[in-house]
Amino acid sequence: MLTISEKNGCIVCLFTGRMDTLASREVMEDIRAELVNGPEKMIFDLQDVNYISSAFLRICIEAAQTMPVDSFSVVNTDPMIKKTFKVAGLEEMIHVE
Amino acid sequence: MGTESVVDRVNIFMQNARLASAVFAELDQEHTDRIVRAVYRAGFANRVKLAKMACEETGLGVWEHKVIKNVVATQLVYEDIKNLKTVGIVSENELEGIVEIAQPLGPILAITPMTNPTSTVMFKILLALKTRNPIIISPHRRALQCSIEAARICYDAAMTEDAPEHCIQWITESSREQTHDLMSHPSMALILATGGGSLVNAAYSSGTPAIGVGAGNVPVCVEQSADIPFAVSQIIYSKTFDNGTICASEQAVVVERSIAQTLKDEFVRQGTYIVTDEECRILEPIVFDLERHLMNADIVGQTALTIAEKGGVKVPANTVLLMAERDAVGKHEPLSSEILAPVIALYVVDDFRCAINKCIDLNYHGGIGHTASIYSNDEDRIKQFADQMNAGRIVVNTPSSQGAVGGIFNTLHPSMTLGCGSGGKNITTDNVTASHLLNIQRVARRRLNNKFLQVDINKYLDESNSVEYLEKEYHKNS
Repeated sequence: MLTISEKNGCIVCLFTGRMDTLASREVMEDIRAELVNGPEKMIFDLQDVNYISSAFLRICIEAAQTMPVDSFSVVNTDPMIKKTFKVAGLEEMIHVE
Repeated sequence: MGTESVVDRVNIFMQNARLASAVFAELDQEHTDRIVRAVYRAGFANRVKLAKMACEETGLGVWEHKVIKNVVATQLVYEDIKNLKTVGIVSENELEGIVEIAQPLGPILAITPMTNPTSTVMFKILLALKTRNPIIISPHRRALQCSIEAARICYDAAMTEDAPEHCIQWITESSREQTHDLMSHPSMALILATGGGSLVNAAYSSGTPAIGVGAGNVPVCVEQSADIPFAVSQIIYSKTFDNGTICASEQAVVVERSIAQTLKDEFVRQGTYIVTDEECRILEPIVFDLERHLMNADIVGQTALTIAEKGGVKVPANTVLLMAERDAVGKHEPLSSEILAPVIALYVVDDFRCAINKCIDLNYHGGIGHTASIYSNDEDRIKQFADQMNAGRIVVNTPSSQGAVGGIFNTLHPSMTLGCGSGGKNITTDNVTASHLLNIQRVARRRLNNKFLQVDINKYLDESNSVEYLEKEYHKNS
């Protein structure tokens, strides 16, 4: 569901599967633990994610609000996921590609 | 409450709604339907509790009848929409090369009334969730608590099926400014407005697409061929349902002189008190605000006995309906207007043609586009009547309240939002249902119009070619 790795000072969080409410709750503490360490950059890699819930969006918002400006992004999104961020109006806050 | 805090509250509502909208759009039909089923079952299970709450809080209506409204709004609406395809491809026409895809609209603001508070809340929630639209409930200030409770029950049920967070929200404090700001918020996709004329006008003026309703002033024509005892029983059943609070309830009976006495006797036999002219004059200011030309809010949903008592008019203890025989229709005849209580006017006319004319007068006196009713066993006369009424619903041999709402006495879509068409300044005459809350996209494949393409375009450019000639060219060889 979540694999965290570090590369050149960037924390890469690789999520897999359905990030529904339950799955999102299960990964929330791990993400918060990383945020507490104050990383320079953080990426959420969603290449293997096919659904995101409100709870997951909240994790993204929390990460974006905690990290310094322009140091958090969501990458490798499925078009449906990208559209979710767009409809939610989050693309001003979160860089999504 | 400062202006800034209203703005903050509105922004929070809309941020939540946008997030919910985004997640909702990802759900497939199966997940969507699981959510809808859970919400329907929760609403249905709480039908009695919510009906009693509504009655107690608003002080109007009959709780047992409000239970039936809740049943219509949950069970009947659910049964009507459960198999509707509202996600993804909803139709494919290989021959025409058109594929239709259903997309949600986005956040919906639902303004709900005092007369049918919990039923309207649950009805609008079911439609919104079925079509993957997050909804914000704006309750009537006199039905705030019961409406919020209905919304809360629905939301808790939705969350058991992992519905998007904030798919249902509700306003907790009545505020015109907040409602106005929500209406006109750029992210609001649609307003579903059930309420009085000024509210519906505000919705239409907000800049956000709106589906509103209109006022009813339902004429019921009892035609010569009608089964009179049956017609009377149905009219009384309808007009006394929830003490007359449904906008589609009968407001005036129109009858031909040849059967008028029989009709009146039957009404009396079934518990109607026909007031004298003097008693009518006493009751008029009680039921109607003569300055504002509106029914008095105090008598809405009150019993016939209560209303008679307010005027000091002595009526038999078994009276369920007050009837007044009138001649005129218009501003100077209060009882020719809509009164949401068990008070009904009676018009005796010479013949069927006069009956239709009187019904037209009533229809156009504050009830354009809503509902009209006829009791008849003459197909030609039913057709004549229907042709002349300006009404989205013309109910035949059925109680008007329940008949217009649909789903019980006919196959109209069960709905608590009855469109009144252009006459009522609404966008539809339909009983509003889930299909009104979708954006349908069409994928159009290449399918050539050979008739058009076979015509040399220069022939169209040649002004001397007549319409007749070009029509022949267009249809040539087909």
